[in-house]
Amino acid sequence: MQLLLFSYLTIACFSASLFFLYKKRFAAEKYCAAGGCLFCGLILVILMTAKGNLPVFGDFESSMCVTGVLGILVLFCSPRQNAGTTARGWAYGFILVLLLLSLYYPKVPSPDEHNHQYIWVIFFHGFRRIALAAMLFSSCFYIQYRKNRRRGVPASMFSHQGRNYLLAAAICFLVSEYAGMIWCQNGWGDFWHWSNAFFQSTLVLLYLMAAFHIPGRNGNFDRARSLIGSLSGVFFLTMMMIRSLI
Amino acid sequence: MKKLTEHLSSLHFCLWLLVVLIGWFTWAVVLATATGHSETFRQMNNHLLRNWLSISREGSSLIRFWFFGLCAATTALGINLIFCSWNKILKMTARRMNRSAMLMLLIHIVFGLVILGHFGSLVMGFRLSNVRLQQGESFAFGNGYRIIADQIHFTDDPAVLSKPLKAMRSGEFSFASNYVQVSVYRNDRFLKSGKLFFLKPFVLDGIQFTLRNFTPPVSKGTIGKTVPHTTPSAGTVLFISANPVKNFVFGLFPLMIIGITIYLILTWKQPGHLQHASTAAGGNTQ
Repeated sequence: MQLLLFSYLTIACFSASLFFLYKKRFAAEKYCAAGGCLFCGLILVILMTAKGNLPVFGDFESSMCVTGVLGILVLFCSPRQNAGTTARGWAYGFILVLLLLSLYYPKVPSPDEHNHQYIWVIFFHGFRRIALAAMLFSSCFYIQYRKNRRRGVPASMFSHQGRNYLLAAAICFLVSEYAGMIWCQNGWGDFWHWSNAFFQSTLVLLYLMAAFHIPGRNGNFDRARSLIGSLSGVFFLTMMMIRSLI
Repeated sequence: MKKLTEHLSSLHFCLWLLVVLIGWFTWAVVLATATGHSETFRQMNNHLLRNWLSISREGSSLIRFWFFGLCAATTALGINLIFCSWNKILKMTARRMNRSAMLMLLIHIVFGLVILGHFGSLVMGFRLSNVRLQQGESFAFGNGYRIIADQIHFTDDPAVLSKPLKAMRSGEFSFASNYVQVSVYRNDRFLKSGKLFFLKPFVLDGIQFTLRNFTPPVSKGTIGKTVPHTTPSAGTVLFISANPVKNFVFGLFPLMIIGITIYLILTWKQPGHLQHASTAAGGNTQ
């Protein structure tokens, strides 16, 4: 009940942020986003105390975790005031999508599996959540860049910021993969396994590699780069959802 | 010849290969979801490449085709990596002599070595899967080695063992108190004994003994073997493996992560000419 209430409060806060952003009331937008992060943090604390470990495993807790990290990134790392409003708008949009998805999941801590206290399992899941948040944040910058480009306003700053956060996401994803390799080595006797999970992880890695290896700086290649960057967060989110369904 | 070299070292070639690999792995996700093929992938995990190729039958011809296609695409990517590193990144590093270009070269080299290490793990060492032992039983393997399960210490309710590992909750299965005490011999000479816990393997002479699972207790005589104890205890399933490239990959992978992190820090700020172009266009960047 408490979790449901806080979930609705988080949704209300981020919806208000989006509203104030389009009304250009930037101070109110900021306070509402901070409120959303606070309620999200409270949900995570409740889940953590109820279960006794980090809330990074189940569907509900992991979507709240990604929401929290993305909210913090928007609060502290996005351009402020009148700059980058599209990027912030899309970030709130992604947050609301994550929150609406979380409403469909049972609002309880995930079952405490026997390996949830194992440090490499925690690292594996934790860094994946951070990578997803960074990838979604990066997508917002690329979308802003595409919008500015269409309007004929050169704003390579957004493209560069998008690339920075995509690279940061790639680093977090690789840390998660490394933790996964240690987990696999100690649990199965080899550091990689042909399995659905492995194929999906490799797909994300290949997608990131493709995003960083688009040739040229102008014209179609620039459009392709920003398009792949814009879709990176959605791609990873889809992969994670498929993984939780299979 | 120069044109071919140019093509092999181009980013276009690299991008196409990455697109092909994305398609190839998407196909693998579909294959692994299908019941029959997921079993073939499990077989691949349990054997080294040469053994898997010799034991796999017609049913796995599609997976074989997928695997060789993967090898071909990865080899082409490796060729592209070598040519690109030599023709482009190295020249760029020599021309600019800046730290970020050097790091980029290093990251690409380390990445290539990590992928080689992954391939090496498919062909080097050995894997013995599903080694099932009851308390007191032994298992002999390559070069005169023998492992004995001295004690199988399982303190929880054995009913939990009928569940798959993923369904076991921490309250019903204790990590810390369930273990297998083993002794390893070589040519009947005692080498070492140790305890195998879940996610805490026992390593000796580069050979890793991994506790994969416990099996429900079996009464004396039902498995047709002499067991030197009277109380039925849980059995165990071990995975015995040796992977000579394991430490190589585990050592290089963090280097690659550190390299990318430093590269990101060095290039976080936008290059001056791009920054100028961006700000000259006006302040309204919404």
